[in-house]
Amino acid sequence: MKLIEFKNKPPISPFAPYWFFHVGEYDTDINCSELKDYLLSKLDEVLSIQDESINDHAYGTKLGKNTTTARAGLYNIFSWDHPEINKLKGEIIKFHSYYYKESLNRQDLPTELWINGWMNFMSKGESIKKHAHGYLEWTYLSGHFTVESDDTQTVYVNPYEYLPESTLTNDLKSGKLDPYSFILYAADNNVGRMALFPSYIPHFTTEHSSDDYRITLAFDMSLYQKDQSYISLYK
Amino acid sequence: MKYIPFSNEQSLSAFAPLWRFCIAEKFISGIDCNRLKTYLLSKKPEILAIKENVGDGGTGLGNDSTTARFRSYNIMDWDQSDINTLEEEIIIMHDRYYRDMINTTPPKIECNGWMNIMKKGERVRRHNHGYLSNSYISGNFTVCCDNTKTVYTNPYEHWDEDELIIRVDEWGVDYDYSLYASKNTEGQLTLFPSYVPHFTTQHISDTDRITLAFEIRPNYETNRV
Repeated sequence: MKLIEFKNKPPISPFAPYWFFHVGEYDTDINCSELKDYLLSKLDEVLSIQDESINDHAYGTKLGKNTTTARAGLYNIFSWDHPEINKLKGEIIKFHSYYYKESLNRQDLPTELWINGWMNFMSKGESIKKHAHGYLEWTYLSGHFTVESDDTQTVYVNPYEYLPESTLTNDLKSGKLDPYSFILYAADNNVGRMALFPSYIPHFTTEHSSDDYRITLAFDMSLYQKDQSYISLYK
Repeated sequence: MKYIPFSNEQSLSAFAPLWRFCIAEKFISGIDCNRLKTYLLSKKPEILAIKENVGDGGTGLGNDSTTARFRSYNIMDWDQSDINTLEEEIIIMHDRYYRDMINTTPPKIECNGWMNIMKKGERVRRHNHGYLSNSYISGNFTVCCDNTKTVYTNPYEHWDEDELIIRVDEWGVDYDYSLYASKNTEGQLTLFPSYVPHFTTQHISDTDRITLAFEIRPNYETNRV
């Protein structure tokens, strides 16, 4: 487990913004091959969900309405009873504990923790556009877990950085931008790796260029049951 | 002077972001915008002749614009009566803005400005002017416009710009926790922290939309303005 830190320098102007946050990474030993097969078996069931809230915007990812991502909130992967999903829940509890204590430098933990998760299936040529999961007073932590990926990155961006996503992508490719600076952190999507970050942190992925699906699980955590789709992690 | 405040609600989580800033607007009656417009258009060829250090700063206005040459000229160096009045008004407005926001005596300032001349169909894409430790105050002054808005957004609002324009143009949202859509008015001077992202709606008139934009820098060491 490790934390990648973003922290502003001491301000020399009273109008300079403040930022201090971490992106956490944890390499688990979850059996991603078994998990992948299970998730593929659930694909049709999830895609058959119909609701007026489903749209091409897909929560800012722009993955389109015919995706499992666009149906986030209408199903919760953590309500599925599968050994690897159950193991993932345990790993999230463990990683959350580490992240919370290290990032906030305190030893207490929240008494309640709720979670809502969904799957992202990406085909060749697709990418997740820059988006964040929320920034209001209830905002907590989000995360994702890589089940299947071939040479993609998730790029976490300083929320004050407003260079266009295309510029960031091109500058990363050309080497003009370092993969880790005050501007961004470009994380390799290693199979079995989990990431945690404050929900307000914008992020996007590089283009998926393999013929196989890129499969990730994403989730939002909350200190209370935000809506009926959330389930308690501590039960 | 009018303040448009942005402030987060009481945080319910240790990982919720905090924000607190104000956008300030003031109508400046002492500037003849028609005369200023004529003067600025007379300077356009001179500015477009600059060929070095060109880049539009994320505005999307392209390299053939006076905006893209903002690093290479300073409108505040031009000796024209309306520009001189604008400089004085910026100093006055900065002084009050600083006192109201920080509650201490403001420093002397220096100012670097440029002009944005937009044609029909153009708009300024979302950008900000900096967010590092020396990030200070930016502003703009509307010289000539026709039914456009400048939209200032909460820095934590990362919905796609096109979606935000729908909120403003189609849903009629002009002020909430996520944005403030300011109807551009000739003679209006605006100040805001440089890290605040902003963009404009599309300019759909046949006449040029002309604004002056600037960045203020504090000068703690001299008394020179």
